[in-house]
Amino acid sequence: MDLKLETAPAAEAPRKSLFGRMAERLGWRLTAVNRRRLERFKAHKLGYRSFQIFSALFLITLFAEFVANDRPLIASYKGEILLPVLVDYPEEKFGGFLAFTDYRTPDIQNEINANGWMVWPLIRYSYDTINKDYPGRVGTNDICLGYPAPPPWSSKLKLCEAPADQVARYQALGNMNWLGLDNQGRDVLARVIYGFRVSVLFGLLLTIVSSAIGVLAGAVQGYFGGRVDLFFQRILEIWNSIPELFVLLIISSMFIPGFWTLLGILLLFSWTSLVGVVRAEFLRGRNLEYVRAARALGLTDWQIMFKHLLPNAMVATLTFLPFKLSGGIAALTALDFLGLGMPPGSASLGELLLQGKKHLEAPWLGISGFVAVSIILSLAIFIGEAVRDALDPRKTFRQSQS
Amino acid sequence: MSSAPIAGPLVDVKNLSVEFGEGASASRVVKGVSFSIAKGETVALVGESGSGKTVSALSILKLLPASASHPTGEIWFEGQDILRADERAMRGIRGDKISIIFQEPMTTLNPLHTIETQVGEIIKLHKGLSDDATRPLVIELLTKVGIRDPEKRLDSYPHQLSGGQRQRVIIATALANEPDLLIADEPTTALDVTIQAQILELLAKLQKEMGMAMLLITHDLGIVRRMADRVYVMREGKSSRRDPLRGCSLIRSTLTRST
Repeated sequence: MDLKLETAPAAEAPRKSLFGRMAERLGWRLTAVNRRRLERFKAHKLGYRSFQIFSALFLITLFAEFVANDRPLIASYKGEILLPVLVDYPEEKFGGFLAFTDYRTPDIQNEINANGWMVWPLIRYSYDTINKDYPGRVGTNDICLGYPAPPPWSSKLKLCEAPADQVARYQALGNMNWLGLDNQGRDVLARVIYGFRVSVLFGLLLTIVSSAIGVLAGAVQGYFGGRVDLFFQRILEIWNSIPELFVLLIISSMFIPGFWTLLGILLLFSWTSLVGVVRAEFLRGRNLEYVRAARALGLTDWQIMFKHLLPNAMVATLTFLPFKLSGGIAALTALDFLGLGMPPGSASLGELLLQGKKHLEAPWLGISGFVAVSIILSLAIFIGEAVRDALDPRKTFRQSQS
Repeated sequence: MSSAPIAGPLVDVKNLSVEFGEGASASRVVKGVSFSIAKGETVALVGESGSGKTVSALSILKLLPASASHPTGEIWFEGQDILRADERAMRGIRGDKISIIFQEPMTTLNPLHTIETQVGEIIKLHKGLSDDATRPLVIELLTKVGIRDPEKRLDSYPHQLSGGQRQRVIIATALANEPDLLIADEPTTALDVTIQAQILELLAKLQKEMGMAMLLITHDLGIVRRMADRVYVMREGKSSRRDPLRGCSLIRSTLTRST
């Protein structure tokens, strides 16, 4: 019989990721259960890949100013190194008279190039930069069509008559509008990048704040129980039966919507979703022996709630977070699409979709918006599935037995 | 009675009654119980299930659920009536001056925290020490309650310990701040016989070392005879005092007669 006792599989040193090393440095230690959960999250191929892609995209778009901008990253002018991305230089510096320099104008470009050099970002447009060089394309009946402009690589239509230097600038590789221009002459790719950032930040903020409120409300209800619970449950029932969409429409038509007002409006209704889960966990947990013991040892209610009960409720809460993220992003996009979202001019995926609906003759608008939104939402959902599977207690024990 | 006796007993429970519920549906489970515990002595509270032992003991720490009330009675501790003390004053007493050990060692420890966190929590709470300052104290306590290799046990979770070890950790937690009174609510019921003897021995030894009083709640008369200085028998919510050695036979006869 070949009975070989495998000695402690834990002895094989796990490869430590950068995150693992950082956590160790900070003195965090993952408990055995959490380590197994992390392992299982990583083992979920689709979810983990989605998480990586999502993180990468988020990181890139966080620095959107360095990826897509209408000013050079770095420039040298008359022996001086300038950082136009970070610093606003008045045009006087380059012999003009405006308060701010428009680096896209040919005069400034020629001036800088004659006296030094400059390095542009990958995309030479910000979300609100209008590409004035687009000469228009000749449509049917020989009419010159203006904005929205198709991506140069996809259109077979001829460019309209224009000065040679303008056409040359439009056709320069660095100035390429990879996804075309929208109905106001702004670069679609730049708007997608900035819009992604706004959407994800909005979704993350909404998720964090609404979970914090929801967890707190659920914790108070579940822990104190009795009349407090009864009272807040009735309030919640009333609150939840308010038709959310109509209230959102009314409020956003009363206030001038901005990032923070929208966040506030959506928070009004999104915090309730976690209350039930957390309340149930606390109701169950408050009668546990160790909670009574903690009380007998002189801990305050809040200390018991946060040290002894919240960790139990965290698993259920964490499972919800990625789905709440995708919900928040979808809600912002929907409001933008209805024209009740972010103020005009700001980068937003919903507004791009709205343009796509208005300009069916310009499919690059709708398609870009659709692809961007569906990628974000799918990634969030895939991450959510992986988190859910990783935290599934049944799987934790099934694996530990084998 | 207007003021507490200064040189009198450590805890003096007078005519205590406990009622659950309100109005007509209220049920009175403790009816006028009186007992006292002097400094350093072991008092046993015995009685059948449902006789109100645990409820009386929990009243001393005011740990009964909100539905409970005390229609009559006083509990004097350090010159104040505990039944009239507010929650803040109670938190100062719980775990610092009066500690309690529950009967279930399997569930009294939080499965999510390490031993060090749970024992240290109480020291930090009442003495306001930092993590680094509490660690040696925790190790000392664990050694005191007879846990081998306490340094290695600091990072263990409750599920990695046996029942007896867990009860020892719970005792360590209860004794962390050297309380004046330890309430042991059936501390050995959930343990097997050999471990029971060890735990009782440990409690007796620690009691002598620290000079604290102990209120032992049990229905095991053997334990009572070995450990208690005085016995109170509870039946149907009332108490009567017995001398332990002669008392036990007496109790046995009354209890057997009644059932």
